Amino acid sequence: MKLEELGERRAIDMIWDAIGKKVDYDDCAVIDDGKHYLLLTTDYVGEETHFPGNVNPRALGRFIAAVNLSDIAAMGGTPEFFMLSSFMPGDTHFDFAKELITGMRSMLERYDVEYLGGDFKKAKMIGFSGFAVGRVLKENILRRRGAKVGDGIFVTAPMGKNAASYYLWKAGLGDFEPVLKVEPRVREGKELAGKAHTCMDTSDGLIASMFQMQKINNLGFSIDLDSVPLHPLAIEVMEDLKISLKDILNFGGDYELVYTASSKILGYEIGEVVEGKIDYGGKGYESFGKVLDQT
Amino acid sequence: MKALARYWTKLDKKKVRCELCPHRCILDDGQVGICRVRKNIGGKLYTLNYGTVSSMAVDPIEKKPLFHFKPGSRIFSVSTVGCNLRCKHCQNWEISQVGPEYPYTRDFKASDIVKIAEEHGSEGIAFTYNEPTIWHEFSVEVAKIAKKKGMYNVYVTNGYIQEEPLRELVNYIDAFNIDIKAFTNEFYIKITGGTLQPVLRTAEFVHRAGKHLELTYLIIPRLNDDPGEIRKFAEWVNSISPKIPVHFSRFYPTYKLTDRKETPLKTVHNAYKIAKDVGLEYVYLGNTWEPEYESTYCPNCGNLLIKREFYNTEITGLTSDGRCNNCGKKINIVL
Repeated sequence: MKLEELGERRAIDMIWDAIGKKVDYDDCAVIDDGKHYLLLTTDYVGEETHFPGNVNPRALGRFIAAVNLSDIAAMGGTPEFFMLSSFMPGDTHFDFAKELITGMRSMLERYDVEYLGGDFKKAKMIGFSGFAVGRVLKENILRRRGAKVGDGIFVTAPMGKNAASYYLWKAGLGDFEPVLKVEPRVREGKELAGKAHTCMDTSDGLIASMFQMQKINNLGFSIDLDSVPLHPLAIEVMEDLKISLKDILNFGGDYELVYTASSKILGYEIGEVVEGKIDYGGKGYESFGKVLDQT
Repeated sequence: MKALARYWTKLDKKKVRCELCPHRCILDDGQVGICRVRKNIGGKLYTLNYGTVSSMAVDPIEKKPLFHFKPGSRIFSVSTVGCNLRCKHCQNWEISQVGPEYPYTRDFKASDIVKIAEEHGSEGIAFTYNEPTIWHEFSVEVAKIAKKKGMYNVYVTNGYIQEEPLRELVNYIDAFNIDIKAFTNEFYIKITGGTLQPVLRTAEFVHRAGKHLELTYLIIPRLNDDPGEIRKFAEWVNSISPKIPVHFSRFYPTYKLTDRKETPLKTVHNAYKIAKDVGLEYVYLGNTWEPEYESTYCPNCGNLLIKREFYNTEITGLTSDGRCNNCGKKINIVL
């Protein structure tokens, strides 16, 4: 079977099969470190998959750092270190690299994260692999497993701005830059730490996040789509370009946090954790899918 | 006094091109550049104001303004005559919009300047009041000597300088305050006689070089006060670093720009809000005399770090290694 038929999630499953180990999927790998857990994460961002070739390098640099820090945020951690491996065609102008590093540095500075170096290689297309290290007090860690029946489901901020920007760009009505505008929710993650029962980021879209959470918790996630807060730009784009809510929520790129807790800590309530079966067959999925199909 | 200039190229027919600032003036024999202080004499470019000093004073460093570099210190400040811009609202037009014919100057040797600064008990030297770029050769000489003696150097500039001389300059300057006079090229062309891009390039270069950088944006009614423009400016700063201190200053009618009143407080308060909203960590208002907008707070916990009232500065919440004494956050500050 080819990779494109397999899809990202199943490919990751197969890697773990080959390693011969069963793990809980979280936003970061977790390592015991005395009072703390060390959080390790790596995220790849590449031309054509994540951005077009003529992208604004500074915005891209910010994005690369942000998406990696977002994984640390999703586990309630404080990001501390960052490394970056870069792949660029030989004819890339040095200014591009300089600008990219400026953007990356700006994002790292915001969260007091130290850059520790990386690798630089020639390649056919532009690509970057980030690696971030964070830390969280053991009792505060946020994981994907741990949802309880009766928990509310919440998101940190209105969704869909990045998706809407993407559809605008695709229609030739806007720049690509806003698609890359991401703020890792480090502060929010820390506020949720120790209080929320589960948490993850919405990098692959709210729908994908819900599937993941449902699978790992063996519970149903009932989402009230009417309560999902949407960014005004998303509403506008849905109306003007006839983009469905499903497309907006499937796109991802928001990097908000979605969490479950017995009551609201911050953000917006969008649903409830209910009894259900493993995989995508639970009650939550049915109602989620049904409503989505109507949109 | 006259000295052979650096940063220029010979063209044919005794013409020269000055390479000091982005104007890149092409000068015939006998012609003077836009700055009024660089002249082609017989096919060679000379600086006419080498060591020519128009003003000297000891100021609180907060007046530059620099709020995050040696707060509370007093710094020996020095200037010459001339400028490579023509801002209609220049506050120092008496010395900036004149050439070496200005009668109230005195010539000094570079080592004299450092000696006088030391005699005044100053630990550093600020090149300020008029545009220091246009006496590059002299200011670099002074800065070099000061550095050797363990002093620091401060540069208050419009950022209108070419990369090559800037590359030399950053070796000797510890802290910069760069004026971003607006965030549209139209403003720069109409009001200052320059262009915006080179200024942004300078600020970015200084930051990349690891030098301390603060930015000043003077808000003038109906010229550069559009909230969208302020937001674009703040987003640009944020894309370099959210830790760069930004000073929004109020305009008062002056020089050739007297057809409008001072900037309403509401406008600068709004600029403050926009910049904070974009994510900048240290935003200040100038010429409003409101201590709450002049003091430094921890971006993490809100602790009052440095209390400022007029030019009285009191460090209240910082540890000796520049951290918030409440939450421990590392603050972008040189103590």
